[in-house]
Amino acid sequence: MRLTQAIVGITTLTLFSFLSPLAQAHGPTRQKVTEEITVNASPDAVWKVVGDFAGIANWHPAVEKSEATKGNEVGSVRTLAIKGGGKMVEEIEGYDAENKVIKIRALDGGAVPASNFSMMMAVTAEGSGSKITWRGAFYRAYTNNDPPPDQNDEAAVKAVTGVFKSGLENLKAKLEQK
Amino acid sequence: MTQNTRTLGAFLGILLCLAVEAEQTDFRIVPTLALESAVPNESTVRSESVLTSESALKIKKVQPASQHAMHPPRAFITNQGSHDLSVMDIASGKEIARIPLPESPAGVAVDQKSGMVFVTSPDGRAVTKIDAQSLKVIATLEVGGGPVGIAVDSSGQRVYVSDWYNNQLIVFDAKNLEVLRRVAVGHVPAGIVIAPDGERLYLAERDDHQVAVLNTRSLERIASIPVGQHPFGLAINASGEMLVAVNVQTNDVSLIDTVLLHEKAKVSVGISPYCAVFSEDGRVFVTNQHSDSVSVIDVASSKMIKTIMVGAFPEGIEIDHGLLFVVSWMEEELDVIDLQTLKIIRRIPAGKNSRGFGQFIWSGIPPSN
Repeated sequence: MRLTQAIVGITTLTLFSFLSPLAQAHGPTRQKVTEEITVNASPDAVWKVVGDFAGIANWHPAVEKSEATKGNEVGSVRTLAIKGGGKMVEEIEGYDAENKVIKIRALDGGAVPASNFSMMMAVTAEGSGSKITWRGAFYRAYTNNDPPPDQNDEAAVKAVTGVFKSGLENLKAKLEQK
Repeated sequence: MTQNTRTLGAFLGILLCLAVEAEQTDFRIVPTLALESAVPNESTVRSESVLTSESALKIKKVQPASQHAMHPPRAFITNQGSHDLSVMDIASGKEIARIPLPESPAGVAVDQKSGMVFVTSPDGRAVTKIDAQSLKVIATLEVGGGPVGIAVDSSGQRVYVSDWYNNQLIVFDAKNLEVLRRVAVGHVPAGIVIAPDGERLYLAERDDHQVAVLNTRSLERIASIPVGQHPFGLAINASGEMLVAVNVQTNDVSLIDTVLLHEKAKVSVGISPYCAVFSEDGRVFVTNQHSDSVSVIDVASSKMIKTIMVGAFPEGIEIDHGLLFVVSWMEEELDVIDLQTLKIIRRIPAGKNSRGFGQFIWSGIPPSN
């Protein structure tokens, strides 16, 4: 149910995508979101999925299709087709297979009402399984004072939280499938 | 312009208590220099440095109890997410007070002589003056717009603030925060530094991709120096002859000859660099937000010579008493780095979304003899 709501939320936001051309300008107050989830699978098994830059469509419920230009190389660009329309374009900024960390920068944030959006995903050992951390740093979509409610700091945090949470929950479900 | 200076009377009592406690703490900690273990954040992936007893001795050596028995150096870190200022005692590595401020404080400047701290609050649209010693809020002024960058001249008489939204440089009387002038500048003004002799002001005009050079007396423009894309933080060396502009979008810094008023070299650094500081021995240290690192540049050769891994999203950076200080926005901590070994010797927890954009260390009161 929560998952469905998140997807509906993301889809609804695509309607407003014209408002968020991932402006390079931004207001002076950056926001952050950190979401974590534990998974009953080995870090190596989890990293195989998380570290596959092009493969996000295999686990994120809002992503219909995804493809990357240069696999998992730094500078590789992936284009995500979002369910219900819209797209996002993201680039690898850092890739550390040894420590299981991938850093990504959004070139076109699509429906997400955020600007200057960068994120990282990390896989660490946790008990007999793993922990996935997904962390984002971004500014709101509206780059001036007095933003409208759908483009303020809270709207940006809410949207990013929805993207991360729904993604991690689905990722866990897929990884724990027998 | 309406001047709306007011003292925050409501906080006065609390701050007085904090100040008294801080003084007592100083007496206790300075002779022993109790060393707390750094608390690394488990959720972060980064290279860890070990807190050694040698490091502790080094701190002791650079901060002898006799020199700073009454007022040792302090760090004033703006916490944009918790809307306050962390006051840290450098010798003990502890936060000794938290001062509430108008919404989303970001920029900070310290007048070393008078021991006054000036802070911008972009969302609170205000500038605040705080006594570094007593930790009292002396004045708060609402200025409108989006005050971000801030600097105080070496005479301690004038404070300069960049208004991000209104493309203005605002000049204040440091004594009472009275607005003296508002000067139209380029698009999205950010970092400000004043030349050591006080004659010139340098301002990063972010969206114009240039550094403005202004005469501090007339406030007229002497030059506009083109740099990389989106310059944000600026720093100047002790002689005032070399300026560095940090170009966020082109992942490089511009080394600027201030005598010839042109860019001498561009040096590539990490991803999304933000702020910089000069060391006395001719190095520049640059924070790289997306690389979670500090790049070390040799100015003479214009080459990057080393990279130090620090807390994620490093922003403000400063040097004092042989130590390098880096504020991590993501980890919400102040990383203290030994300038010789370039190893992190402490991680001091700060408030939410800590930034420290500007000059945030008060060196303390020198020995009076």
